[in-house]
Amino acid sequence: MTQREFALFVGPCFLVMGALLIAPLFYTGYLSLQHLTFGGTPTFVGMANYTDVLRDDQVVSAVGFTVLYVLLTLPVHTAIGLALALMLERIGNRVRALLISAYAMPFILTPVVGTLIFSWLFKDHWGILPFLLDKVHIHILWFSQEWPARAMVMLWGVWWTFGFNVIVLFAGLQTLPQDQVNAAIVDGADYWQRLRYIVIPHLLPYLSLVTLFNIIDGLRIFDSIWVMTKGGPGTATETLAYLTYRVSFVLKQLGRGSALSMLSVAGTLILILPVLYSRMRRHGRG
Amino acid sequence: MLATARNGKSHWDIAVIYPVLALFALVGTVPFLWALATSLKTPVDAFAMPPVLLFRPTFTPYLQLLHDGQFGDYLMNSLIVTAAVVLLSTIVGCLGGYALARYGGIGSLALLTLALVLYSLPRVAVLLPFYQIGQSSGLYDTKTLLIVVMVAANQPFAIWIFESFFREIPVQLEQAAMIDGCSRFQAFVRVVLPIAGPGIATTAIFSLLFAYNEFLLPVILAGPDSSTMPVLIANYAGSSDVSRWPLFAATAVLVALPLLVIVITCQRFIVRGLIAGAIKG
Repeated sequence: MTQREFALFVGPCFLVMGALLIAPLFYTGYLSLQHLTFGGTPTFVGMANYTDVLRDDQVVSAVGFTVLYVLLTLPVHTAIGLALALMLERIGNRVRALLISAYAMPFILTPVVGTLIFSWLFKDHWGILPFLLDKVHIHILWFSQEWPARAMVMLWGVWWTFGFNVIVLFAGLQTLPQDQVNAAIVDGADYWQRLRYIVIPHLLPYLSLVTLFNIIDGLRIFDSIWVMTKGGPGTATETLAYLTYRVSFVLKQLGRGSALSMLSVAGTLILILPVLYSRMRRHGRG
Repeated sequence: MLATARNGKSHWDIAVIYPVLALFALVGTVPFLWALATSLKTPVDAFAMPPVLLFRPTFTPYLQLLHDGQFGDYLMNSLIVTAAVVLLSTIVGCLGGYALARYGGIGSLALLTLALVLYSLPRVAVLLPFYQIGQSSGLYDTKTLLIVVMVAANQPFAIWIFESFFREIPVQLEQAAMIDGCSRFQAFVRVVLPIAGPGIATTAIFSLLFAYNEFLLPVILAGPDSSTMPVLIANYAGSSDVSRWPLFAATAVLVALPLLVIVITCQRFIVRGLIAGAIKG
């Protein structure tokens, strides 16, 4: 393919991405250096928004909860995903397809819908979960107590994500070299040894991909917070993405919101840098 | 593949594997089944605790929705926006993805890397200027703005998917066509596209899921005139009027149902789309 043909074919998508994604991103960067509330005129304030934001208790609390959310949910749904993927290997094709559909439902069906009906299970008085816990004399107000609300959001996170992990890790298992497994069997390795020395090492790239996706999604978690708790009680379940939304579009402090956005962008870039680097290096070799 | 490693069906399979797999299938589906049951109950049954498991189903909430103007408006917005985003994303994406798969220069790698970065970024950072500019230019709360921004936001994923599919189509096919006198574009349209069905289907499905499910974009850029279904559903969350729960549940069921059909019938494409990044990442 000639350079000219490449330019013609790629042109439309490059224009769309350049004008509607990259240019706005730079504009957000510009706004982050302005004092700007919605409807007002921007005045240049340099790094003031950034220094303000970094000193703000609400930001510290939102970053804290976002990090906590990722740290606590990631090991759980990755372990569930891996275990289920390994088990799916041992059953028939038709049942497997059906099970995968069931696991995919939380993250394929409209997240806002899934979150709403998930949160219904926790509602005081009419939810099934408080009803069942009541039977064993545990009384939890999931929406108005800080830690139960946080726990509910994290349970939602596990529910929403595990199916994705199952699918990616199961796909990884399909590419496992069969002769290695057979050789290990001939050498007398039991199931756990094969898992430890062949399967897990083979899955490492897939596990790191799942981890990266889940961290990036953690930085973006917004829909579910909006629907379940609106960040409450107080700011107990406010994530970085939700805080950015609230500051920008509810409080209408666009300058400050832009600074928060740019900090999330910086965080994401740092996280995906290793992936970009390894891709570049592979290209350099090939 | 590990399957051949087992020594026939052990008692483990029956005692542990099936129950665990089934348990998580329930975990994934129970909230949806619960919503389905709620949508078929009368308000009194819907809030009875312990839950009423045997009830006489009523279709009142669904009939109510038929005459609910608000529901109809949001649904129409969703359908128009989704259709436009699927069509435009697929056309623009397949051109770009094809070029990326066939051009060996540094431009390909740069653009794919850029797409990966744009795909990962928090979307709020890109949307903020549209809010600011949209309000002053009169584009705020129009389906056009929503469609255009969604197509852009969806491009990184679309070219990524298409690139991985086109790479699998042998170059010799177009080369033969071009030797026979086709231009590059003719060869693409007449030879490559007809066998690119799976790639087109995968991109179309993911574009549909994105446009139909997206909440952040319409909640920021759309008002009463152009908001899509997720905004309506999200507003239910704030309602304390419990007698309307069966109605809310019916809406949730109607919104989720088309996607359920897609999950079951198009699983192959969904799995392929989800792991497209995994293989190359």
